Amino acid sequence: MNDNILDYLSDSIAGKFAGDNYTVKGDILSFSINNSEVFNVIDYLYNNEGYRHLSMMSYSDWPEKKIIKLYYIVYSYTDQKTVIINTALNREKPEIVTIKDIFEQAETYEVEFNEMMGIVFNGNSRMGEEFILEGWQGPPPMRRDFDTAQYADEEFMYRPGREDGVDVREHIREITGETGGFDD
Amino acid sequence: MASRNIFTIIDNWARSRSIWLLMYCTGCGAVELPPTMTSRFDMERFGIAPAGTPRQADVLLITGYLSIKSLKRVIRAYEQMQAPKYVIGLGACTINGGMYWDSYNTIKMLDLYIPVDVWIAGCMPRPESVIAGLNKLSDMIANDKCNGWEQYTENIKWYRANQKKVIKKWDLPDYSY
Repeated sequence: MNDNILDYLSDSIAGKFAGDNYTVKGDILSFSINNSEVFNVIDYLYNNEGYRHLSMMSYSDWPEKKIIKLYYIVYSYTDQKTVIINTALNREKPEIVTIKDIFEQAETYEVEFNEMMGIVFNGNSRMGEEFILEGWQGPPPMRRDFDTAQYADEEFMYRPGREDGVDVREHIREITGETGGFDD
Repeated sequence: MASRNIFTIIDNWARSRSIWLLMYCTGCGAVELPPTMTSRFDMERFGIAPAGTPRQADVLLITGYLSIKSLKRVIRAYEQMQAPKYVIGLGACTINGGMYWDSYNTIKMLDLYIPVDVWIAGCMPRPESVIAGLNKLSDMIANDKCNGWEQYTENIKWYRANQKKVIKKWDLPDYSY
């Protein structure tokens, strides 16, 4: 196994696209690139370096920085190394080119991200398709500024509390004479 | 019921001793049912057995939280069941939302959408509680106190309105009950 492979990749890929903005930790190379270069970098890693396994795609929401971060994690069976590519999207209008032509399974990830986070993947014909939610009309629910409790409060009816207003835990203590136990 | 004669008494006696369960196992409560069914707690000693399909079942057992998407399937399954049919809400989630009280996609009160005959509280209720609940249902059937399915047909407009309020993409047939 080539232990210097990550050094080589750091120079050839990260150095080229991300400048000094990369980290190597154990078997993992991680770097941040501009969102217009994502397709090219993944395409290069897939075809030239043998990173043929898309381990995962993920996202994180940063309302305070007004960005959504998108992560692509690819793995090489020959090198046995992992490369994490992350990119920042504009939170108001998150758009990026699909990578489904490189990794077919990314298409499904992208449909989910579109539903849950509102990210639009250009070139993916399944945008807007229902993935988990049926007939969802609210904002993308995984955004951090989406207030689930408030939404649930407006959307659903709640059962009113007990009329006698008894504290159940106290009541059990009174009946059983238990002391201690759980303090809720 | 008004027309309670010797035949209904016999019918109810027979029904209460042969309960076929349809378990809707999307919630965490599903994990309590294998021990309830198998040798340790053995619900079959009370004449309770699992059924394969909605049309062959008497009782629909909802084992926990229901998302909007699964609520739709539950309504469909419930309406396919042959009367007389009963519903058991298992666990805190069916009663008041439980730990999913602030979730954007789970319903908080099951009895707004389908009529519930027996609640089994707990998070999760142990197999003993499940069997106690089933025995309670059995008693109620024998005493002619389970008429949720009649209420459902009588108050179908109210139930449909509640269902349509949360199920935004309504594609269930209106005639299936």
